[in-house]
Amino acid sequence: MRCPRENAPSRREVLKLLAAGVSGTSLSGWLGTLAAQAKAAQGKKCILLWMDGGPSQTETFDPKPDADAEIRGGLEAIKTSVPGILIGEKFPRLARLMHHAAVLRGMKTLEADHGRARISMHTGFRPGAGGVDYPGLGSIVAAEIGRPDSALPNFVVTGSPLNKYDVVRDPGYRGPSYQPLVLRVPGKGLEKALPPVPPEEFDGRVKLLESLDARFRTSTDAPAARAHEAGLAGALKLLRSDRSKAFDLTLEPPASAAPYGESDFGRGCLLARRLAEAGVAFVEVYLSNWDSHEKNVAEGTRDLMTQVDQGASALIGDLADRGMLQDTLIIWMGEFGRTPRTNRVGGRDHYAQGWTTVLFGGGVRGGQVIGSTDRQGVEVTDRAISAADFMGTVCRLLGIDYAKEIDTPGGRPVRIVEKGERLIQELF
Amino acid sequence: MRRGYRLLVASLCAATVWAQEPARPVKLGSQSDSLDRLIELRLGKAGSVPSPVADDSEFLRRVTLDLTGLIPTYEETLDFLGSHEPEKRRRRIDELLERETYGKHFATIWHELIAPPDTSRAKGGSDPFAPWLARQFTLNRPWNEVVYELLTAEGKIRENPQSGFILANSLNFDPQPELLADSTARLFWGLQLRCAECHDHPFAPWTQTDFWGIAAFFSRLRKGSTDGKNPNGYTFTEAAPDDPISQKFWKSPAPQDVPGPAIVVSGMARKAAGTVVRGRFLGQDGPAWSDEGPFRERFARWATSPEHPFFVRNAVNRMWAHFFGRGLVHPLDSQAPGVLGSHPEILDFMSKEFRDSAQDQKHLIRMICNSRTYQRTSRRGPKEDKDPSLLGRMPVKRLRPEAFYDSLSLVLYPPLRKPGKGGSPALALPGPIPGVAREEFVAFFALQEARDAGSVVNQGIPQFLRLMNAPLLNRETPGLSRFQTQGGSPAQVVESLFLAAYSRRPTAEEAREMETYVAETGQKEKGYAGLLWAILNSSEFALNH
Repeated sequence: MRCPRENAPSRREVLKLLAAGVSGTSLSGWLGTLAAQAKAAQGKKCILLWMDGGPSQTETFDPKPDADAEIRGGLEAIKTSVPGILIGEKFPRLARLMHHAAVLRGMKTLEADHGRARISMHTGFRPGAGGVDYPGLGSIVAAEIGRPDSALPNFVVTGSPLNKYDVVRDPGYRGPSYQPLVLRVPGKGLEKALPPVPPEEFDGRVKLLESLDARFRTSTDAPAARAHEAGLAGALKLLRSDRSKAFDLTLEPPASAAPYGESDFGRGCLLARRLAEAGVAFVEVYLSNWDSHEKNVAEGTRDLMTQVDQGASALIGDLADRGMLQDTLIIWMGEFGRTPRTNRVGGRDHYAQGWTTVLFGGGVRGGQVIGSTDRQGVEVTDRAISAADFMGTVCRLLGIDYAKEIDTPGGRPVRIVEKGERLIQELF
Repeated sequence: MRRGYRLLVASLCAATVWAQEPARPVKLGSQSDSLDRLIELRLGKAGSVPSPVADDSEFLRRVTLDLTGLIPTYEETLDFLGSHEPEKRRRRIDELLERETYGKHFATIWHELIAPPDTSRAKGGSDPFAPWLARQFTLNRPWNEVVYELLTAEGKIRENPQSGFILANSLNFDPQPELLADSTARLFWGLQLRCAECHDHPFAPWTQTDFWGIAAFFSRLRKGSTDGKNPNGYTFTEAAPDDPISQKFWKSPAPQDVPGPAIVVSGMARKAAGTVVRGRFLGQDGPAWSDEGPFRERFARWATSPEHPFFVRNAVNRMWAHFFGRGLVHPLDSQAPGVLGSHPEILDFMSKEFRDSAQDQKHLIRMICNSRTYQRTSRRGPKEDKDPSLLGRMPVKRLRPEAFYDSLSLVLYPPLRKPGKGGSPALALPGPIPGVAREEFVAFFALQEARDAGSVVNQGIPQFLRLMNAPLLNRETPGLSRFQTQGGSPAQVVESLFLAAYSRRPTAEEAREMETYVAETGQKEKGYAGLLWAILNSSEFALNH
């Protein structure tokens, strides 16, 4: 195993030295390119609708109307706004918006365990690969196209995962500045956003605190002290900004909140829209309980589908009405799909060999299905998409140079997306 | 052997001129001294000047947090600072190691490593595993014995709490050989073998057969439910050696009857799926198996033996990381043949000490805590620290969320000394904070940045908002009123608050600033409240330095 040399300057340090003119070589050429790319990415945003537990592709976006009942699972397929594209019957509202969607039916990934697959689909890497902790998509987006000076955090997560897991929030090698603000219950808004003492008194206290922190940081010069100051600064910026109102769903007129539905997921979608409008680069909305190994859980997912249909369709509709859909990529996915055939107890088990994700907006060429599984839904017959293919494509759509190498704290440079990615060219 | 090593160390050290002696010489054991010399040798080579030894305040706060997961109380701090006993640091270390909070603190750490919240574990207060771990640390049982019990556990968790390890590596209470192999290698050997589950390891010499050869020892472990659905009622049983090896994955072939420890590679492993792998000690061809069990016991004896190439090194490395915030081998699960780490000679030296002491954890801790290296200040010197991993000064660590809660409790709701019992301040334990449940607080503030790294206080925005604006730091508390009712001057109250929260007195500059602040608020109560608010929100309080 490669052991980072303790004394050698890291690649990043070398680059810094080069940029500072220590070496005679001019880097202005490619620095210029980077600047141009960064400019192009300005204003791009991403909303990830995370279906925690892994939804059935067969019952949602890859229906098999001609297959046996054990594969169909009791749900019919319905027509959509795009001739030839059929989706599950629980999505009547989304069906009218499929001209904005690209359905990726050839997802073929390697992890079929919840914990590992959640990390893999968030980071694009297999967990533990190379002994590196990889950042999730939210941290990548926040670091690459988020606005560092924004009063609002660039990465927000809302909703709750399956009860025994935490949300995927590890910023990995990107470090603590790129961890998300996590709001478990979207309707509650930002809790404790207001100080309980009058503003002047609060400001006096904060001044004292900042002075204590500055003195401690200067005397220790420790990364943990700097992280503490950064977190505090973020919280104060938010607390003092009227843009934190974006978090308060009670400010939304009832008529425009209604289409999102009465679920936490619907409210999460509404929050995502409000945050995207306020400039937040990445919002992730969790919807749990898709882990339908048994019949009763499988039946419970029907209600989840309705929540998705309401929340996602309202979100897409609102973004389209506001002219924001072109710049806002919406991803619908879980960590894997489910076995095409129902099992003995009327449920479906984990399945990573052939499943489906959906992209809306964000400049994707909509109204198309890419890739397919066979008639029984078992094998991918066309255009298999790996986790790295998917992640590379999403980065490209967001204007992120994913081939760029980032230095990890251990000194090892790693690409944002694992090498060997094949972009889904049909989308561009 | 040890003598030869000492001579080697001594001769190496003789060649170096020490740049600076500690401000106050601390009498050290010879083992701690050897450790220091190895650290200082490297610093000298790098041209770095080590920082001076920390003052009593800094030392006391650090060592109390590291050993018991609590800051020292106001009374303890006063006692310690006022003591002129020359051996007081050594004595304090010994005394802390005897406290109940020592066992609890290390149990919290290992409980999270072994049974993270996203795995199966008995919920909440009913989990007998954490108290069992605490007992092992309190009794200072040799580490190999503790791990042996974990690896060979059977039965109900309520009667055999050590089966918490098996439970944590189960899905729906069904023991998973792959998870057990992965956890054993990671936690007890510092090896990351999981990559080798599905393919040969990309950058370490581990093959798929190595991984599955370990998983094989767990393949006959069965879930056996005896009394309904209560998770604590579940029991784990080792099946007979001729029992078919377990089959779990939808892609696996039919059960096969293989003698000896063996496993059928699961469908996840792609190319190798369906092949049968025999139990094998890592990196060895054998042993040759007769058909006689029990195989798990034989595996566990080898897995925890002093001769195992990684067991002792991993224990030492993890202990080192606990105190210095980073392993000698980093990350903690990146041990492999040929990986020497940042200070190979220290890892070798301490491993030998650990082995020779029959795996005495408190011995390791004493070596570290009595060293100059551990007792150096964390404050930066005049020159920039070129390479912090050389440990010329003490690294700053974040508190665990449990330690944060308990320390807040100690400051805000100081436990009362029981009169008539000598009122030993050492026995003052933090209680629950009124209206703030510990479990909920810990969950809200916990951040686990990397797998196998312990949770630390989350410095995120919701956490700051809560700390700043929730009633906890915005209401009257006995922690503040006790100093006010004593009727001291503002200078005295400021000093007391600093001692209670930071375990130190304010500098003259700080004292001036704090007193000015209190005066400017126009109302003393308001001023003190604001002052305590600022102190408890500050990085100096939330960090171990």
